[in-house]
Amino acid sequence: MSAPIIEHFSALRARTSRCLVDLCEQERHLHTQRIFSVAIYGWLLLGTLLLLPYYESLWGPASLVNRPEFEPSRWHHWLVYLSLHPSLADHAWVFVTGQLFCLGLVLTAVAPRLAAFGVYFFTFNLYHRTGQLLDGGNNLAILLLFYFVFMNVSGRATAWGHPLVRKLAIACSNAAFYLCRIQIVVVYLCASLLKLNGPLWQKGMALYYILQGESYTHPVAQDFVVAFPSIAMLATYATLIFQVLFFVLIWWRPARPWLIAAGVSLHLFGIGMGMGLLLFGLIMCLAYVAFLPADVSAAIRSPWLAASPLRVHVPANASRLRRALGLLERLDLSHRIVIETRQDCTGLRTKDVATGVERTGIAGFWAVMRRVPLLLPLVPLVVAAWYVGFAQLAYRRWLPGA
Amino acid sequence: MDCPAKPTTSHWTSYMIALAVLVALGGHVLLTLIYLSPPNIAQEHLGGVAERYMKPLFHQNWHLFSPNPGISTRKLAVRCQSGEDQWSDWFDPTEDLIARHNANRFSGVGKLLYVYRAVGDDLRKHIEQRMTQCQKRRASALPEQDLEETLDAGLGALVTADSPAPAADCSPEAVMDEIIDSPEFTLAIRYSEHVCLGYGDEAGVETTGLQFKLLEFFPVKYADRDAADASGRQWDKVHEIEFPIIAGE
Repeated sequence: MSAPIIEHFSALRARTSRCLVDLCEQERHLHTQRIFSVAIYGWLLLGTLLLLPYYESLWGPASLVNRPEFEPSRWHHWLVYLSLHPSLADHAWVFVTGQLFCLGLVLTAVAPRLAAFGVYFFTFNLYHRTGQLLDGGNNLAILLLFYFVFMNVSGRATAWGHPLVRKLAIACSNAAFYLCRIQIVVVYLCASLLKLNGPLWQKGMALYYILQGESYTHPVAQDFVVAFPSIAMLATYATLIFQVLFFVLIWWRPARPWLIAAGVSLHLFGIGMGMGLLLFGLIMCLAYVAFLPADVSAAIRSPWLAASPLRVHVPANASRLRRALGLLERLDLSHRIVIETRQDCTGLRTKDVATGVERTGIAGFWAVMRRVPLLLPLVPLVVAAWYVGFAQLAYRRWLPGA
Repeated sequence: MDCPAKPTTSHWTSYMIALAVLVALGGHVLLTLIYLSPPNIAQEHLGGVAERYMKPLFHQNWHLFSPNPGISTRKLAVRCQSGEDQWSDWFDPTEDLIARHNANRFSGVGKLLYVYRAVGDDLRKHIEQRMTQCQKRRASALPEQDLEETLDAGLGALVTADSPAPAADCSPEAVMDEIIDSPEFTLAIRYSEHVCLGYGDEAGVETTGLQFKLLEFFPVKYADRDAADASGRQWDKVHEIEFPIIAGE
């Protein structure tokens, strides 16, 4: 019988090696990664859409901002300061359009890794064009966007052919996901330690003074803190305690829901609505999605994943039809379309797995289209085209062999 | 007890990849912490490396109203001239935007306010820089015993109605010539021109000039709130820097 230390050491060794292998082979947080990335990309989309009406004032050549100069000798200016390049001075729309296009791709999981890099590139350039717009929320967003470039944000298991490449991709994806969590914790760690050193925070007077100013307040909050300074003091200490506890307790699963509930109240109602930092408040709330346990994320995504898959048989010789269906499959966020290429098939055939209903030809194609929620806005157009016979004509003419 | 399984070749590949990725992850986190930490031994030795690594792509600042939140409210007030000598009252051009922002947080106006507020904030920072430089210049010319006193006056040299400047030689007025040449001042002129545009149109005369001033409002101190309530005073004190009149083109 060996000494306990030997047994413990070999158990530790076995566990470490299992963790190392898992890092390269297991995508345990696939669903959390997808939901988290969709939340952050959605936030980015909302931010840009809210600011689009003020395009000229914020990003236009005549906007009221002093911009730094583009420095060709610095390598990173060619990557993230390109919007300041003299030849692009009047073309900020390139970056806005690029960002929106790439957001569309990554949200629909079409070429997600490339699109994630595109979002990072266009967003960082846009941020540097008008630095005055940025706050802590933008700072956090740009860091997360960088990590997303390495993370599997598609919601589907990594399926790269070569095992070595696959392992590397999975390891990078897992590491990037953990880095996102660490980054969020670092935000709270720094903010809380700095606050603990601030005299106004120590005395509990920070919110009393911040909310009395005009920059980060609401008239209701302004009057409230003057009328009830003791509540402002309690809120200051509550904020401080929450931030100090966050970076420790967030790793302890039983405390997580309570901590997240407190964080959402603070960021959404206190900071977002009360102080007027809406986008900052929102991204901090959405950042908590990174801490969703894998089983909870899987349960959240299950209605999309489980609902009635559609099996599609495509003839091997109908190459154009296969390409069209491949595109629809990519747009299918819920992955309910399963395409199989068959040699023995003479035309398109679909089968609803749940109901067993089979369709062929254009009816089958229509069944595939209906599984893609992104195409819903096109439904009236397709119905009108079918009514006048154009859809049938186009189907026969452009998709031979279908 | 089962024997631990012998690692296969495939496992060795996994170990190597995992270790490489973990080293990269650990290195990134370490440099992030060094970059964000207050002055300490690690920063003394690796601060330069951390800064070179973090600045281009990973710069981050999590002060978030700490350690001391900015409690004052800064505004750039503008007045416009039309005709010979018809001046408008001083007004805050962002007043409507603030009202819209307070009415609807989803209007997107909040970010627009960042941009307009930055005009005044950047100008104030520039004034502070010039005043500090001026104080250092004067301090280097002073005898030893006066040096400490002058530096102590620091940025409190902003001219206020109730406190005469302790370092009058470096008041905003004294460094005004340097301020006027700055891009921050030029931007403030562009901003004022933008808000005065079409000011005289209603009266059928051209806008002939403009002027702006930097205002900084400080909230009433907690200890003085009862006295302030009794007197109806909203602000504890107001700093004001008035800039020269700019003639229209």
